[in-house]
Order: sequence, then C-alpha cells, then structure tokens
Amino acid sequence: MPSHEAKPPRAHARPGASQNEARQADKALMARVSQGDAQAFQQLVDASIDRVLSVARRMLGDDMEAEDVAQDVFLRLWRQAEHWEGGRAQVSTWLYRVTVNSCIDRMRARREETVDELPEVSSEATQHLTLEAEDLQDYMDAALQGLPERQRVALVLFHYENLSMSAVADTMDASVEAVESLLARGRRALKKSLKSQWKAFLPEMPE
Amino acid sequence: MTQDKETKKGLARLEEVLNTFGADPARWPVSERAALEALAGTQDQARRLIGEAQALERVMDTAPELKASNALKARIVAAAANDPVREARVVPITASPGRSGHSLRVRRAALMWPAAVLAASFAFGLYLGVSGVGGQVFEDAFQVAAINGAGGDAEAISWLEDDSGLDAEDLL
Repeated sequence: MPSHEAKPPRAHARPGASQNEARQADKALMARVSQGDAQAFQQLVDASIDRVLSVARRMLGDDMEAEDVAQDVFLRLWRQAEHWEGGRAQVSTWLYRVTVNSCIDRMRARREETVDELPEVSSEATQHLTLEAEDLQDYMDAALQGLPERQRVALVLFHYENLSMSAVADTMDASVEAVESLLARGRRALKKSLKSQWKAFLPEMPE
Repeated sequence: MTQDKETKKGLARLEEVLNTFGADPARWPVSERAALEALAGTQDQARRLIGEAQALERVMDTAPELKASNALKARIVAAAANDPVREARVVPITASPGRSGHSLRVRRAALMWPAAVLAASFAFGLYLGVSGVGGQVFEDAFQVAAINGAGGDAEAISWLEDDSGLDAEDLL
C-alpha cells in the first residue's frame, strides 16, 4: 500500500542543475531507455514517480486511481522514448503535463458518469462542505477536490510542486496571466471553504 | 489623504499577491517584494492579511501526499517489460538476418531486461501475495495493453506532437 506523508518544507528555489544541463541529462537517459535499457527506465521511475503520484493523488483524491495514472504515464514515457526530442522539453515537464492531462481525462469521465445524479461542483459550492470529515486532512482533500479542475491543477503545480509560474504556464499550455488568475481564484475559494479550519491557525495579533 | 489612498492601494495589492503567489515572500514578484514587506512592517492590516494567508497554507499543507511503494514500481517496470506496443515495434527486426543497428539493439535489450524483470516480478509477486489485489492489478495491466495495442504508433506519435490535450475553453 502507498504511504501518506506530510508535505515536506518547501524550498525557495528549485535545486539542481541548470535547464540546459538537465535537458542534456534527460536526453542521455532517454536515449538509453529507447534502447530498451531496463536500468535506465528503472532510474527514471525511481527519480520521478513520487512527484507523478502526488500530483495525481491531489488531483483525483484517490490512492488507487493515482497509482493507475502513474503506471499509465510511465508506460507512455516508455513508448515515447524512441521519439524523444531533447530540445523540446525536460522529462519532468513532460511527466507533469501528461499526468495532469491523464487526471483531467479521468475527472471528465467521472463527471460524465455522474452528470445525471450530481450537480456540477463549483468553487461556490465548496463554501459549504457537508461531508463528515474526520480531520483536517479530510477537509483539505475535499476542498481541493471541490475546486474547478484548472484551478486545482494550477494550485497543485505552483503550491505543492513548487514549480515557477512560467513552468506552471508551460505545463498547462496557458499564459502566465491565466495561471495567476487561476491561482488567485483557487486560493480565494479555498479560503472561503476552509474558513473555520484556517482560523484556528491564526497568529495572535495585538489589539 | 494621499497617504491613506496609497496605503489602501498597497493593501489591495498585497491581498492580490497573497492570493496568487501565497504567503511566502520569496515567491512574490521581485519588483514588488520590498514595498509589500515594508507595508507589513508598518500596517496591522497588512500583517493580518499575511497571517491569514499563512494560516490557510498550514491547512493546505495537510493535503495527502503519496509515496510510491516498491510494489508499484515493480508493477510499472513489469508492465513496460511486457509492453506489446514496444515489442511489436522491435520484434520483427530480430527475424531478419545480419547485424543491423536495430538487431543489435534488440539483442542488447534482450540481455538487459531479464534481471530487472525477474527482480520486479519477484517484488510484484510478494506484493500480490501479501495484499491479495492481484486480480485487479492484472486486469489493469491487460486493459492498458489492450487499449494501447488498439491505438498503435499513431497514438504514440500524436502524444509526442501535441500532448497538451487541453481545450482552449479550459484555459481559464
């Protein structure tokens, strides 16, 4: 079974190599994967699976479905390796994009299945959470699931994955302005829907 | 009067920045960071807004995060090793005589996989034995193989050329 862990502290800057170095490393690794190198594929899976899994889990709110997405994404990567163009994108950007799209496809399929039974969820609807949440994590999970899909994607990538604004825009194939708007609306919606939860964490203010 | 207007404008901008970029000043636009932090140094209202944004993020950071199990990694490696799409692309070339680049590649791949697959299968088998979810996992694996077998190379290539898969209407 997968294990849930608390979110680690966020770094202020993305660690590691420059973009160019990262692209070269990706290209070399993907070249090995395209040759059928099992160790290289295993290396890619080991290095990236937790990110893929966490994005999928936060997008879908379901552990097993997130695992299915992860398998689907890496299988696609395995198949794409022969066609990989190193100059176009980093593997991590490709993984985020395919993971997000795969989650959106699943969310839309779910919605089509339940459209006759349930009203469409909107950010306004999340103001009144009625679920029987056992703890804070359940409330947070439900509030995130209640956000419109594009707002959720933007928040997951910017806040939880700590991507830069331009990287989020690139992954979502949107403008930076559009992502900023999605983030602001998403955070405002969460602030409303989780008001009684975050108020408990307010620092003491002098009168 | 002018001072009040400026302060009001600054507070409105701070609220906008907090909603968009979050409570961590390191993520705020560099061009505005100093002015907004200075505002927080002098205005209670600014400190209150930042306190609220920090409190919200403490709640946000409780959202579950998954770590991959070894069983899942093994399942993925095994699925790739048995992938009929990659196999279909490579196998016919092995039948041809001679030592072309492709056939060498296939031979090399054939040498590389067994150890990894054996290890993956062993871990996967242990996982199935312990968890008892084998039926569902195998069903998923066959489903993926069947879908991709039907899609073939055209599907794979279209992913490469345009993998955004998003409609224009979804941008906002």
